[in-house]
Order: sequence, then C-alpha cells, then structure tokens
Amino acid sequence: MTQQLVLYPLLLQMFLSIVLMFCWTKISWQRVISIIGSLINVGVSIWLFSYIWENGTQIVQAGNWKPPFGIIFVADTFSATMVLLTAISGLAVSSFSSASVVAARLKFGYFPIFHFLLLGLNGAFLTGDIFNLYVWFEIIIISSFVLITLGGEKAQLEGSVKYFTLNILASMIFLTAIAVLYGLTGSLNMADLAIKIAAIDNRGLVEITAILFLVAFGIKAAVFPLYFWLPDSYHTPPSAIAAIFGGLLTKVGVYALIRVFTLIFVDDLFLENIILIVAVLTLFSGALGALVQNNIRKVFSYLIICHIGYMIAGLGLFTEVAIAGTIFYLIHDIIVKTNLFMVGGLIFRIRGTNSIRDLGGLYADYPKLSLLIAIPLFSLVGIPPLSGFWPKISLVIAGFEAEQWWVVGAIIFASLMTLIVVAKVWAAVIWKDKKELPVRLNFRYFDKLKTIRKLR
Amino acid sequence: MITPMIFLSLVSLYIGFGAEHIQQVSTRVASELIDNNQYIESVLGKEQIIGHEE
Repeated sequence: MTQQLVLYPLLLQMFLSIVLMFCWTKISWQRVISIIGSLINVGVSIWLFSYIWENGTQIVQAGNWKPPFGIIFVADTFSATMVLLTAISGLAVSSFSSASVVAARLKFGYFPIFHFLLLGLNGAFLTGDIFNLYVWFEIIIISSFVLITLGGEKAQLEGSVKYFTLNILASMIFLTAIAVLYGLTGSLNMADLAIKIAAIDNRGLVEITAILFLVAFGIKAAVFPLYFWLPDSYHTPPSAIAAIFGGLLTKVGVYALIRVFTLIFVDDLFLENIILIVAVLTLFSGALGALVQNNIRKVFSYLIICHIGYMIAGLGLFTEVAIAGTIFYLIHDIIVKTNLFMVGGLIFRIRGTNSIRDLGGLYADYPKLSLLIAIPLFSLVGIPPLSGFWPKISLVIAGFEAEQWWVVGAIIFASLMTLIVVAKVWAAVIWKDKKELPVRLNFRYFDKLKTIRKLR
Repeated sequence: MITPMIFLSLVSLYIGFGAEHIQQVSTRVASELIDNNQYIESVLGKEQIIGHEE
C-alpha cells in the first residue's frame, strides 16, 4: 500500500475532478466536495512527505516496466515538498473560491477544472520521465486556459490569448528539446538521461539542447525576457484563479528548471553563467516593473517575476547553500503569493477597484484586516523574522562565498525595490485617506437598460 | 473569504518563526539535488549505474 503512496495525490485529484463533474449543476455540493477533498489531499500530502522523509526516495513503475523503459513516478524530498505546498495552496484557494467566485462561473465547471489543474501540477512534480513531464504541462495549460477564460470578459480573453500563445510556444520548444534529447540518448527517463548526457562528447549540442529547455521552462517560469505574458494575463481572471496561478503556475516552471539543471545538465560553467545573467535581469526588470504599476494585481504580478529571479539566481550559483536558499524561497513564495492575490481579491470586493490611486483608508475602516494583510506584504519584503528574510540571507551568503558580487548586488537591489513597492502599496491602500468613488455599475444595474432604451 | 487568508498567514508565520524546520528541509533537498547519484540510484538501481559507468 505504501509503495503506491506516490500515486495517491494524483489519484485523489483525478477522483475529485470526476466526482465534481457528476455534480455539474449542484454548485453547493461542488463547494463542499472541493473543500473536503482538498482537506484530504493535505492529509495525503503530509503522509507522503513524512514517508519520504523517513524512508527516502520512492518510485512507482507504471505497468511494472523496469526503468528506463516504462514511465515512472518518483517522489524524492523535493517533489514531496512541492506536492505538499500544492495541497496547502489548493485548500486555501478551494475555500476562497467557494466564497468569492460567482455562481455563474461555478456553473461552467470551475471546480472540476480546478482539480484537473492540481492533478497536472502534482503529475509534473512526481514524474520521473521527461516526456511525461511535457504531458503534465499540457494538462496544466489546458486547465489553466479554461480557468483564465471562464466568464468570457473582454479583458480576460485578451489576457488569455497572450497566456495561451506564449505557453503553446513554450510547449513547442519543450517538445523540440525532448526530440533532440531523445535523438542524442535514446532515452526519456530523467535518471537515465543524467548518465547518458554526461557521456556525450559533443558538448556543444548538449548545451544547445539545454538552452532549448532553459527557454521553454523560462517562458513558463516567466524569466527575463520571456515574462511579458504574465502581467498582461494574471490581473484578468477572478482573484481565486489568479491566486493559484500566482502561487503555483510559475513555480512549476521553476521546479522543472531546478530538476533539469541539477539532474541532467550539470557541471557546465557556460550554462551556470547564462542562468545567472537571466536571474539578474529578471530581478531588475521585475522590480522596476512593479515600481511603475498602479494596478495592485499588476504590482503583484511584477513582484512574481522579480522574485523568480531570486530562485533562478540560487540555481545559477549552484552551491548547496544557494540551492537550499532557492528551495526555502520557493516554499515561502508559493504561500505568500497565493495569499497576496487573495488579498487583492478581498480589497477589490471591499473597494470595487484595483487602482492604487483610488484606494485608501483600509486601516481606518478595517484595522484587523489591515494587520492580516501586513503579514504577506511584510513577508514578501523579508522583514526579519518573517519568511522572506531567511532565504534571501542564504542567497546573499552563497553569492559572497562564490564571489559573485554582481549577483549579491542584484539580490540586494531587488530586496530594496520590493521594500519600496510594498511601502507604496501599504501607504496608498492602508494608511492614505479613503477616496470617495462614484458608484460602480454592476450586473444588477443591467435590468435598467430597458428603461434607458425607452428614453432614447 | 478571510479564513483561507488567515490559514495561509499562519503557514507564512510558521515558515518565518519556525525557520529552522524549513531550513532543515531545504538543506536536505539541496544536498539531494547537488548529489544527483541518490536520485539516479533510487530510479535505476546500483547495478544499472555500474553498467553505465563501465
């Protein structure tokens, strides 16, 4: 039973999706099933994590085909941690969705698709086969595309076109890279690839293949210069969807980068330098982008890009301290970013706008809520002893040890910029006096359209 | 809408104030990633690694 434990997070999400499809019209049932299912998923993920922690890496061979021939699922500490974080974020978003997503959206299969997305994420974290990783990525793209367009508002469709185009491009590059890799080695098993790639003499071809993977996963992780789809699409869907996107979707790209560049393409100074350059430019562009935005969700979107830079920098430095910093940052970032987009949704619900210029007076009206909002915001800055502080320290130490002063400088610059951006958001949304806004025309005013037409 | 925010804020506070636990996890993950032989050995078994090396 415990050997199959690796598959339980996948099977549970698949089971939930199917059950939820049978309750297509029963929205209240869907809400309950989704929350209870997510709660069970957290339990299963904790079980998996503690089992891996005690007993080490576990594998399951699909169809009992011995590796490297069959598809395998591998749960090591890294993938078990990611599955646990997905479960925690999934539970929070599931219950947030129940309260915040309107019934009109829920009627079109919101919850089944949401659990398909979680299935795709768990699959990507647990697979040990590079082509199977591509398949899970496709499941993620299909589910996220449905979620991002659900509701069919103009801004959503505009954002989803950018999202879909760039992600399909990433998939094409990913598939090309897999084809080249298969041509070089004749294998798709990641562990087998690690051995076979190391034995190839034509290092130029190996480096080109690695760069194809870097571009494909770079688009998904939203690194410089492949990030522009993210701020244009993440501010358009409902905040619950943006929360799971902001918390987990870019992180699956980061996971893939870490997995591939620590297992298959290792000990290559050229690749490490490329990754470091990309990381530094991502830190700069994300931080500066966040600084000039006035839409609160766009600010958070640029901060996602900026903070992806920290994780990529740790990967580029490639020391134990740096990778530990990256993993710590990944854990902190998934929780904080999910929470921040939910905060954005709550602020929109209260004030009816996302514009920083028009917001204000939140502390005067909701002092306890403001204190709650302070936790993810100040964690993001890394104010000690909050969660963002520790991984940044690890990355700075790793940068000093590797004598990569420019990387250390970029990390400190991005931290300072994050502080300025968060201070700006805090001052404008929480401290500043409330601005009286004109009454917003909502759907409930649509019944007055007939009267307006008559007046013509 | 507030409950999931409180839940994630508590998790976030745990990551910050219980950083030694998270650091322990991060360090173990990092050591497994840096020394990828553990992963390869778990998937392929020792025999296949020796076969490949030969």
